[in-house]
Amino acid sequence: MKLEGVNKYYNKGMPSEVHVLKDVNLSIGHGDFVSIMGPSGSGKTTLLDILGCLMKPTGGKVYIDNQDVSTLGDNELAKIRGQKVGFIFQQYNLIPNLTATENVELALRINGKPRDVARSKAVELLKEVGLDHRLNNKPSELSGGEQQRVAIARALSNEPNIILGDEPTGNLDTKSGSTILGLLNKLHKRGYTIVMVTHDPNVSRITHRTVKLRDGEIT
Amino acid sequence: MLEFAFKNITRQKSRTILTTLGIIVGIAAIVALSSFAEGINTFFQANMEMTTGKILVQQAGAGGFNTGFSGSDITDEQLQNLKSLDGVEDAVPMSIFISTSGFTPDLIVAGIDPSKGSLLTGKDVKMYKGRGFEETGGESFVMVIGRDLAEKKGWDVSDFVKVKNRDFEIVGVMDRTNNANIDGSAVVHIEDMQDVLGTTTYQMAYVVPEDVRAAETIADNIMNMDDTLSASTSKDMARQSAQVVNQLRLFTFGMGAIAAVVGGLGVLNTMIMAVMERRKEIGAMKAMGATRSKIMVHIISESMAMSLVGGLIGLALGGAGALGLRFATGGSIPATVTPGLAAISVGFAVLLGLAGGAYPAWKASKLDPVEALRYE
Repeated sequence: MKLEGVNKYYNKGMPSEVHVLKDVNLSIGHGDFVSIMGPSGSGKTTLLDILGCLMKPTGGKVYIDNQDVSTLGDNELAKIRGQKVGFIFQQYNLIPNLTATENVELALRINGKPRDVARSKAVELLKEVGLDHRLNNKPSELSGGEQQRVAIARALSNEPNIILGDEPTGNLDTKSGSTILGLLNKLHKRGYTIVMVTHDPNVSRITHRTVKLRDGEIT
Repeated sequence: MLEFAFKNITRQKSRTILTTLGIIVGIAAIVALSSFAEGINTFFQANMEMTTGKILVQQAGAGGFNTGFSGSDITDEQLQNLKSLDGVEDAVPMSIFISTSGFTPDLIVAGIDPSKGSLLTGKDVKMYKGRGFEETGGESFVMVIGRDLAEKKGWDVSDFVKVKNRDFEIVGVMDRTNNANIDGSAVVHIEDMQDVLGTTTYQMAYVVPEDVRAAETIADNIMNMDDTLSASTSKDMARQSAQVVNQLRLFTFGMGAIAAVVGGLGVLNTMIMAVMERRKEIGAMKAMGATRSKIMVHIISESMAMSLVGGLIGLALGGAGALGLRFATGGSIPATVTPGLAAISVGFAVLLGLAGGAYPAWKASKLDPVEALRYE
């Protein structure tokens, strides 16, 4: 992934204009394990959203697998997210009325996998993250750590190139957080490229590179 | 993805129930009323079968079926005058006795000349049991009944039926003709009917023209000859019955339109609320790779699933209503839910879901994924 001269404004041209990212240049290679750190309001989440094609930059270029995605339309970006990016959120963002299996299955069905294939793959992924005893439980019946593991399984479902985590341990206790970090470390050793936003130095310690952001600029 | 849509409609059960209730009531009303309208149409068509090409003559201003044809007295002299008109092959007198159970006809007995029966039915009626009506010439107080009547009452050949304090012996049961007027009624000799009714006159006469094309002219001639009589051709009756049926159909259409507005608004309201409540989920689905069209299909599937459930329940209730109407009219109005009506009703319900879900689905598809994910 590569960002070249990326700028992001909110409410550009209005009195409430905010220049969140300023001429950001960043390269993330295949298999990298990167953390993005910075104080609140530094633009970390915005940077992650742009890397994950959830948001387009106001200026500059974004490359994923050498493809310039900065000017693609919404549907094209959705397809790239579905094929190349897996997201893990601080608040898990699981669907509350679906079981763990169905939550993972949904991601596969959205991206065109037939029902039986999606179901068996979902079960396989949940077993990989150690949740074979929780397949039929809904999020409300799972602990925070278990919910995040479901989210990780979901993020892996479409075999993405990159996993993006926005404070993946932010809502977890120390023990659960360690479990999640251990899982992410394992994934990295399997060859996944992982980029995490965090404000926790303990989290950034397990990554190989830390990108520090202040006032929208990489320092 | 349809199974996820069905799962979603059970998330807020009370809200889903209230939304589908509007659709259920609307569809049930449409099904019951449409089947009743078609039943009325079938009833009139059956009557047409019997009267095609013939002219129904009654006393002008007399009551119809619902009053037991009260106030209509055609004398023997008037009958002879009808027979002597140019172009008239025959004039067949008839009287009808109707007993009711509550508001519904319980027993309909027609009194006619046994030798003239087929002139009215327009067909040779086969017998299921016993003797045909035309074989009872010379007998008194005998009765031939339709198959539906026999089954409804549990009557058989050799049973006795009381008609206004007179006992009639059943000598034959007609085979099913699929004409409710024949299958659900009984026939007796016209003289015996006059005895029962305590009269020497007839309630009506069917004038049979030599040439059916002359029916309208003969009807005019009858009324010109005797202004105390009214004469209706089958065309007149068809026109009148078509008016009644069309009014019923219009009423049904009106009900359908109201159901459309109420049902569709209910679905729209529910789905708008659902989209607002599930912004984060929609954001998560977009993060997973859902395109705008997939989000739209997901939301619309949910509204259509809700409407489908409502439509099916409405169809069942409407069918029960049609059955009730059929029972209430003693079977004479064959209100039935045809496969076509069932398909149209359920299809209409699903369309309501599509219409109600379209705008919320479009709004959901346009949600910014980042804003949706961060929504609190």
